Amino acid sequence: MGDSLTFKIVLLGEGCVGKTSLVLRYCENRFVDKHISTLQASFLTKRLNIGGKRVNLNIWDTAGQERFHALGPIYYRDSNGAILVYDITDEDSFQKVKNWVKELKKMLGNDIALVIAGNKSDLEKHRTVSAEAAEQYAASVGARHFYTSAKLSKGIEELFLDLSKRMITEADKRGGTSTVGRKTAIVVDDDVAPKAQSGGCC
Amino acid sequence: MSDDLDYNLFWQQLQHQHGALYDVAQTNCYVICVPCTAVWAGLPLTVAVPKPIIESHILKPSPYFHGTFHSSARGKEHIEISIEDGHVVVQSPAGLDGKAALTAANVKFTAAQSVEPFKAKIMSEELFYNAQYKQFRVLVLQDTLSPVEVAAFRQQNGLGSSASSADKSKRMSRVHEFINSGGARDPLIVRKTPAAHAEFLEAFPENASAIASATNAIQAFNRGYVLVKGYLEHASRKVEMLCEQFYADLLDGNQLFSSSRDDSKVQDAIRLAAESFILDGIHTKLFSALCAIDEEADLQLHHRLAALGPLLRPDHLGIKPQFMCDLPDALKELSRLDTLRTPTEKLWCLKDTTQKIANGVAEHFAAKGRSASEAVVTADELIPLLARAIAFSAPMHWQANVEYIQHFQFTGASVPDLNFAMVSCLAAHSFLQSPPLLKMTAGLKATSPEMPRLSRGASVTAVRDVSELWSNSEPAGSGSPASGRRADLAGSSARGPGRSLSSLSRANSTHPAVALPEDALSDLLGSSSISSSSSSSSNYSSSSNSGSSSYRTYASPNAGVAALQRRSTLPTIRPPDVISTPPIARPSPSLSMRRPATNVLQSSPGDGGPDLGDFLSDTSVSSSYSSLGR
Repeated sequence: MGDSLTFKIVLLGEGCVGKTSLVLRYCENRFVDKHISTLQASFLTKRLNIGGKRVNLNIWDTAGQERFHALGPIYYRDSNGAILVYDITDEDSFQKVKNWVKELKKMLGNDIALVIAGNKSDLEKHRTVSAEAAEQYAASVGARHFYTSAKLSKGIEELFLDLSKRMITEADKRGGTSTVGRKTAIVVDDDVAPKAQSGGCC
Repeated sequence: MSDDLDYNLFWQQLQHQHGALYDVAQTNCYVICVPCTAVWAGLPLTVAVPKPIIESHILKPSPYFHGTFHSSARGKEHIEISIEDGHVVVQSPAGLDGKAALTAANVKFTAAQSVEPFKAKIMSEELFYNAQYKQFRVLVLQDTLSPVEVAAFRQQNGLGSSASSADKSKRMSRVHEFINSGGARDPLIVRKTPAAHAEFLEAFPENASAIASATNAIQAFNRGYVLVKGYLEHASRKVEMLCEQFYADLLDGNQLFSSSRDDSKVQDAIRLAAESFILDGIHTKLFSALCAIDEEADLQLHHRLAALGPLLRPDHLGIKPQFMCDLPDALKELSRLDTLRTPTEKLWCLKDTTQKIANGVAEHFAAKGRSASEAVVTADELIPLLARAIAFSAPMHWQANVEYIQHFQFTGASVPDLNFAMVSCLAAHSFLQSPPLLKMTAGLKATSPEMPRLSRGASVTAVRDVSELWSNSEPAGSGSPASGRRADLAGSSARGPGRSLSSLSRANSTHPAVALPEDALSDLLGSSSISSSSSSSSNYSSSSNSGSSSYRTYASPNAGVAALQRRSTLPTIRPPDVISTPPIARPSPSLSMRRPATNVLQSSPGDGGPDLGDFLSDTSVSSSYSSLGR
């Protein structure tokens, strides 16, 4: 009903860079009494309305521990967007972002909109990743770079808004569908009766 | 979000019938208050809401006082409105309607009420951006700000001027009651048992013909359809056609259903009920056949997991010490998987398992007196906890269940959180087979003080028995370096290669701590060196290695099984195998690793089942894990 789009966003980054805090901050609903502790933080949803378009964001958190790295493809399959999070005080976490970008580019090509988040921007005095290098790198891979602070709730809405706008643009290019990378088998079967009008979402 | 604007009469009317008001509101970033869907219950989305009601709920900021608003409705601009402590507060005891309106409506105030401001609780807020990407607020309220006007509007519309409209409204409300009683926003995820779905459909006498046709189709399917190994896609299409036909018949025969074609929420609920009815009817036939197809793989998997469960320690799985706790509810939920009849129910079971893990962790933290904010279960916690639950519950028909869900679930597959739960379970299951984990768990003792033993699952005896099986099923002369060591394990060398899996049935006995050699346990749990041809491998493995990251290739969940099948002296299964439908049950002590007994089942004439030509021409069988999110 209405002009509605659903996007899958995958959240990637090393453990302890604050990616879960970032998305929890974005998705928190201060008017809901139920505490977040009874909810899983690994899958969150957010509804946006941008210029008259209803946008449903399904945000898939991924495990940051190295031991789970190989499970990444299961999670980022069919994603419309990816948020790659690093900690501005941890150079290694930025290198991990670069690795994820390489992998995403290799596996999904340019079908996926990328955003890089330099998190913990409240710890500016402990920064080890230079702002210039991070922004240059982001530009070189076609990603937007944002500084975020889950602690201070800074930069997060801007990040998601930008990502959503880019995903909408991509969806418009595809003719208004948010579906990417789905493998559809076309089956010709003369005996198949005409199907009723399909409904449902996505 | 606890209310869906897509199905909210006020919101729909504002968007489509009062677009000019909406444009002004968003251009000027006014606050829009939307009375929740329950306020409009029983009213169709097409009923025109009077403009004054709409205007009453569009709040302009006061030019004089920050944080104070005024209604856009004519004659109500003088009433001050504020947003405080999760409520929209109107500085008038009667809301925006004024005391006079309430008096006219015979509403009497007590002395205390007459001085209290009117409050409407804010249920949720959505993020809105206008065309200039400026934010404006949309608040969903538990109540209307104009109670008298809305009450009068409700009375005038839909709730009964003529007998026929009253009857239609009552019957329609039955549909909405069914949809909303699950407490879920999305009709696709309404929690209903197949019996409840059937009851809903049977509640409308005009559905009788469609139900009779569906029942005949179910009987024909059960009587004659032949499920062929490797041709699940064909069966999937066949079952989907049955569901679609039933849905179409329901719409044809029920004017109430067909008249709400534009209401996707109602249509999805009907479609889901139809699917549930069909799948419930063919469950025994279909799921038994799937169990037969996957019997060997599932049996091996069950015993491998049953053996692994008691050996696991938190550090093997990467569970942080503070998250280590018993999760009996999650285990109990997961153990229900085999007993549920429809794929949607099974999908819900997986979702509930993940939710109960989160709940269990929260309870654990609370019991320890720790802050609830620490008990957030992220993916780093969920995967290992889920892996542990799967290992401990050692499901009997994991592969059959996965295939059943992936191939025979048509309506709810695209529901994101159900999809996420499914993917998480597959990821956790894959993690259990990962070489790093296998390496870590090799050589450990079963009586770990850190990991409580659960009643379910096999003991070390079973580990030894399975390892014997692996060593003994090595084809003669294959001569792998490990085979000699495996043969020596636990004194098994005296056993012959033809030994069946019957020894595994002794899994319930207990055994003191036994240390296993690293390679033996790795082999037992599935060799990492196996390049599986299983259909499940494609989406599980990541073989890319970029930069400094150590990407690894995981063996597929069936890699060990595939290897066992290759090593086994049992005859090779030749496609197309036609599977009989044995009863679903846990293995008896006499269970042996026999292949399914039949190669061909006869299809009854005229039963609508596939013929051999269909099977031979069907090459669209996809990876069993690639159909997620279809």
